[in-house]
Amino acid sequence: MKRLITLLAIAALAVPALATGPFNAALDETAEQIRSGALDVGKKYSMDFSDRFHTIHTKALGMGCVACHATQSYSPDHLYLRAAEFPQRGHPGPVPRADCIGCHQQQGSATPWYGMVRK
Amino acid sequence: MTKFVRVIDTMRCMGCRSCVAACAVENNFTPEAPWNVMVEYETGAYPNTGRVFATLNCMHCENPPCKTACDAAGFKAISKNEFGVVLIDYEKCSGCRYCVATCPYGVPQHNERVAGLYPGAKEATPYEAIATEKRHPTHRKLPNVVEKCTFCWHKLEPAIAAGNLQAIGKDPRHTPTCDLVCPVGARIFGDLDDPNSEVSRVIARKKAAPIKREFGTKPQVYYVLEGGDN
Ligand code: HEC
Ligand code: HEC
Repeated sequence: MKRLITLLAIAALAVPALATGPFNAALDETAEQIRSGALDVGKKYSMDFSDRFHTIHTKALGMGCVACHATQSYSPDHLYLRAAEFPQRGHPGPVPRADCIGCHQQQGSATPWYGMVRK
Repeated sequence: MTKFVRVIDTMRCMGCRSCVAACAVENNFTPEAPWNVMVEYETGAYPNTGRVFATLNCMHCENPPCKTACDAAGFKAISKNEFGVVLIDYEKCSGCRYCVATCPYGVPQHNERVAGLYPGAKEATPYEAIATEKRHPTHRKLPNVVEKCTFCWHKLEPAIAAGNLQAIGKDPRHTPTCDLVCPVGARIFGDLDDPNSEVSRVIARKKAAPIKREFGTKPQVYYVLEGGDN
């Protein structure tokens, strides 16, 4: 419960999500600084809230929790193997991965996980 | 060339979950980290309703985002071999879960602890007690490691080593177990590069397609799915 309250507190304080749409130069620049290491986002590669993944997206990029975490469960017809794991106690909610495509596609500002050609 | 693919016909599937159970037995399932899961939902509006049973396992993408993210983080624990199979090296996996984050299909399972099959049991069953060195590397389960469907690589590998590629998808010893047990023939495995293989013919005839194509991952599991994907 304590963990949940902490999460909610962080959620309330978080800056609203970055506008999607045409990406601005500032985002490109921050992305480059993260990749080059000029911007310190920590060294621990992990999904834990205190580690790199969340530091990058919430602190460096200022995304709010709800930009990624939906409050409810996935829709019943969402074809996602781990769908039944949510809702989960002490977790801010499932993350529809379609939200990642914008930044992480070939023409996006960040490393392209999606739609890229394999070397 | 050989490219192994699977087709899953959700119009034939009746939701019995034999494939889910078979995968669990074949691949030394540990609770909380299943490799093959059925998603079940209703479609339409009363009185014209339907029920969809769609099993999900690794899509063995041509452009696997799990691998790209793992490489970018510097662990290089994920590989895609020349037969199209995506595998995780448990020894290299750091448990960072970037693959979990980037997979659009929810496939990689972070095995937090290698839980026993019987909660509270004092001793492991003989099946669980099989020594590490007697297991195929893909079955050497470790805590804080990510695992997923391997297309039953431990069954394909011996056929490939023996130069007996044509047995794959036909001989039960060299075919993924989930595909073998389906009582209604809703799952077929084989070589997509062979236009005469059963899997190629079914994909063409039934116009099967991968799901979530918008991610550009080029999955190697095809679905016959009425009403499209979500
Ligand atoms: C860029 C998208 C994104 C943003 C923004 C984001 N998260 Fe997450 N978060 C994720 C993903 C993806 C996961 C992994 C979910 C899964 O297991 O499927 C996750 C997991 C978590 C977890 C579970 C970690 C664990 O160890 O399992 C917590 C806690 C969490 N997020 C908290 C937050 C909070 C609080 C915020 C807002 C300050 C936030 N997140 C913002 C994407 C995001
Ligand atoms: C607003 C744009 C944006 C969105 C939306 C976004 N990301 Fe990112 N992401 C970035 C940037 C910028 C970086 C850091 C620079 C880079 O890796 O290119 C990054 C880095 C990452 C990293 C590497 C982290 C590291 O340690 O280097 C992963 C993994 C990742 N994102 C996954 C996701 C996932 C999964 C989602 C969707 C839940 C998501 N991102 C949504 C912009 C975004």
